Amino acid sequence: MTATEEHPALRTGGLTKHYGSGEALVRALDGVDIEIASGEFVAVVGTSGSGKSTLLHMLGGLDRPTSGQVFVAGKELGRMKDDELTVFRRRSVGFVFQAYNLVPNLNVMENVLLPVGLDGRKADEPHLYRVLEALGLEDLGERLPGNLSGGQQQRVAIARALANQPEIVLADEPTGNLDTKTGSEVVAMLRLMNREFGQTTVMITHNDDIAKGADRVIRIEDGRIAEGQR
Amino acid sequence: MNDRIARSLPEPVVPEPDPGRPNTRAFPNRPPTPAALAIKHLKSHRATSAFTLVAIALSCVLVTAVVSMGAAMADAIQQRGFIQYGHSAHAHFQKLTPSEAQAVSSHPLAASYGKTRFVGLDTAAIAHTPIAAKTMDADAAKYTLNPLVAGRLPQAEDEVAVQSWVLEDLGLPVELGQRINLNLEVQGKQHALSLKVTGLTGASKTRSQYGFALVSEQLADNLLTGVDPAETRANGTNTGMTELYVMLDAPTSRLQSAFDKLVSDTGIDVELTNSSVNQAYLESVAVEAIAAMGAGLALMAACGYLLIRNIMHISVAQDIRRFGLLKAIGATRKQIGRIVRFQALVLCVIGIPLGVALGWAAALWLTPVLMSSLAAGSDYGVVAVPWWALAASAVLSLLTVLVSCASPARVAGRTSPVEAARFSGIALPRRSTRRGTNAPSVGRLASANLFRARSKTVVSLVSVCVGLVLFSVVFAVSGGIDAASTVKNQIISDYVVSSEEWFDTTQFYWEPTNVLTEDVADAVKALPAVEDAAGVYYKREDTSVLYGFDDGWLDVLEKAVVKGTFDRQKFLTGDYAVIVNAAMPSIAGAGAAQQTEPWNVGNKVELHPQSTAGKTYEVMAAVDYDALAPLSAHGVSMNNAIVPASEMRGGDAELMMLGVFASPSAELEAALDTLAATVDGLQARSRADYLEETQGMIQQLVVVGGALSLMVLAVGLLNFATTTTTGIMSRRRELAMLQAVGMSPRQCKAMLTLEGLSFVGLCLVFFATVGTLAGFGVVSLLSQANGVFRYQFSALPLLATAAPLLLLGAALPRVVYRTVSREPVVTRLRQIE
Repeated sequence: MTATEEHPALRTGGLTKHYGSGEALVRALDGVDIEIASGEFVAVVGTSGSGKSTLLHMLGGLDRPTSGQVFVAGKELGRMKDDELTVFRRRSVGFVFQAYNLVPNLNVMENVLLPVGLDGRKADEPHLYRVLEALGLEDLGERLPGNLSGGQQQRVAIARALANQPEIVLADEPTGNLDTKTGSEVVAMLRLMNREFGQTTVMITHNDDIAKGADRVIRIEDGRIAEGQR
Repeated sequence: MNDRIARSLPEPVVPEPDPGRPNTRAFPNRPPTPAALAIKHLKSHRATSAFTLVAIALSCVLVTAVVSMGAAMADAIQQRGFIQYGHSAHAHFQKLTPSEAQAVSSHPLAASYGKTRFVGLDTAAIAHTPIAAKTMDADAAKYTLNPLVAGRLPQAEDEVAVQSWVLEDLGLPVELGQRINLNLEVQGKQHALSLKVTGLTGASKTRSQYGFALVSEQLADNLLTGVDPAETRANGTNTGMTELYVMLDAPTSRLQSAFDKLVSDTGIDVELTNSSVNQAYLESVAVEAIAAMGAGLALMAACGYLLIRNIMHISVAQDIRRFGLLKAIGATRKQIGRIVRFQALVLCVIGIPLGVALGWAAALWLTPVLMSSLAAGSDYGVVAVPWWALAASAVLSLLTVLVSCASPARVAGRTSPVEAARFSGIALPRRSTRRGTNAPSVGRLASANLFRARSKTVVSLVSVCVGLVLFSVVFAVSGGIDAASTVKNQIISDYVVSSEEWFDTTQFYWEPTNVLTEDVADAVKALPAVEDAAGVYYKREDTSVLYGFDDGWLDVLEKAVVKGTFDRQKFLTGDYAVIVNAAMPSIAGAGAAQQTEPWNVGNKVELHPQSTAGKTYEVMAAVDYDALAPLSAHGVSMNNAIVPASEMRGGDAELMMLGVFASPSAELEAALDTLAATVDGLQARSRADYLEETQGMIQQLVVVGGALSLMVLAVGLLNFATTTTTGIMSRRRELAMLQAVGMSPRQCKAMLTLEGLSFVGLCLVFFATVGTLAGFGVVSLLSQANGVFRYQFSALPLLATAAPLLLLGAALPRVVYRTVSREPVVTRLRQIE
């Protein structure tokens, strides 16, 4: 048995997140137990307000749960201090956001290298060029985000998520700002990267068609797993 | 999926209207006006509104301070001019016959006038000060700056009004009802009069060489019986001549032409009647002064413009989505521009009155300080800021605000409804400058961010730098005043003993006071540490002033020679005189005109060093006035001659001042002070006293200049603060994203701090280079005009400003970040999505 089989890439136990209190209490997550194996490509679907984004934020250590635990590669995020979480995020998690969230005055290459730079390290150039090539960005390195199309920008965001060779990639509605065709291409890219580099990928979407390409679909309704729990 | 949602929704239920209950909900029956929208914006962005209010008030303070100081100084200079020229009327006609006076006073251009008639002189009643008897109406008393302060003007034949000091000098109590005896000489005839004092007038003794006894028309008519004014004028005397002080019906800029018209209409001979426009009105509007004030005003208005414009841009950016929405529902550019302008105007209602009040207070505080540094020791009395200056400041500030709104209003009006959602007030860069695969560091991020909001950063940079450069110039100028050489122009010896009046350089006439006697001089010479005490004797003749120099001054005299040669042996024989070169720049007009032909090197002049007996001297040399300024009487504008003191000692000349040469010591100073205390009106001053006075003046200059440049600097820093604050606020989501991908709060703070410090660093570099050059340039210009300036580099202003600026640059971004980071990363990431 390998270490990864011993510890799933991602595991949550009784994950609960409540906002507000009293009558205004919102149960964004209400006891979620999921397990995602290393290298798995999982789509999380659900209606608006079902709690899928909250789940993703918990998985990526951006937000702390009200109760319950999140384990990434066997480590419990709740035990980490803020600074440790930050370092964990930039080394182990790659984020892809709906609105790309690139820094407008840094060029493509700088945006991709941002997490590496924040970690005070140098880029692993062979890996970097493989990623850029696979995403078709090799000629765009000096362009600024403002001069790129939405699909190109989202590919840059994917490259940024992969630059640090993280254990997991978390994508929050990566196709939400894109037309259907470009959206499919971006998902195909995510899938390709998942196969090519073996990163565990969790993608949020509200589009069932896009979710079909995943290894597994987890459906969330009202903060609970409705389907796909393992 | 949509079907599923639709199926699961309950049927919408429209509530039935209840006929028994009236609709109590108040719908607005009018669409919102631009004014209402503007006020709504101000309320919903309280911080920006407060910043804008402060910006408007601060700009208004700057403008008002400069306008008020300019106006107050022009006013004070004019008041001083009135004293110098003896009256405050527009025009003065000195020797008129009654018919000419009638013609002038009834001319339509003469808006109002005061009339006096010269009767005669009493030269004996008070030593050294003749008393002139005149008739004078209330207007003339006012225009001649000799207004009635008690009682009334004379009406009956035996009544008189005099200056208070006249009574004092006559040894009488200063009270109405006193009787004074005058021996008036009226055209060669003596009249012994006993007059009852019915009024007291205000002019001080040092204002004029004469005392004035104002008599009734009735007495004047009696005394002047048989005097023909035309005849006395032809004889060159004043008896019976009418003087008119006329206010012309013309603006200040056209006084001369109005005067010329009046003169030509009435056929008055300007030369014969000795008539002129009051120079004080022409001098107070000197081109240089207007230019300097205009430049200062332009600078202040520009600073205010940059600040308000920047803040209004930020305000527009905050609300850009709403402008887009308004545009989408049909608002025109004009209407949106009106909303933006209205926002500023609403704040003007509070900001401008506040700014005018504060600027007025600043001017009242700073003007006396500034004027006393421009003319050391001068007392200009009460500083008044005319109301029009305040009104003009308010209008100018309002204009500045409106102009400042033009560009933000245009931006708001141009907003496209589609793009509004993406606009964040930060222009996107067009080109990347970096290559390669170097991972961006925190420093790289900071430097890339510094000029992201390019125009705002540049504007902030410019406005901080303007303040810093002004600051630098003020320090360079004040530090460039060489106190030692300033003092050298004021005192030649180690100590000076003279009368208080002589030390008071604000008085235009210095007349002998007989305070410094030969006995006093002997007592000074007898003091143990005194090496030498050299006196200067003074005597005023009809058209000239005669000085007698003790041997101790001969070295100084020799050094000051500009024409001819100074032979000490020949000079001491008492047959030679030295004249003072009349080309004095300050009073060149009057002085040069009076330098008549015999007053030249090689010529012979007749002088009267002892009583009235004349003696002829040969002029051996001419000396420079400035070198001898510390040894002369004040207000010298006529022919000045210098002879050895031995020529004048023992005659009717008076010892004017005594220069003491001695190594300074506390004992000597105490001894001189003790001696001065024993004689009424005597004073002793040391070189150290003059030095102290000069340094005090420099300090005052620093206070005024420093206060003004600090105000400008405050504008700049406010600009920096708003730019930084709004810059970080508008990047809150980007900062959240950076944190999501692994930037620690510490790195985030480091990046923002670096941005702030880079800005301050740029300012300081500008300060060190441009500021230093500007300071050097200004001092160099000043030193060409005045020898007391010498440029001296000082790192002090840079060091003094660097610490607080760096602190602000480092602290402000952290404070703003703390506010921003109160919201969790997740919340910030969700915003605007």
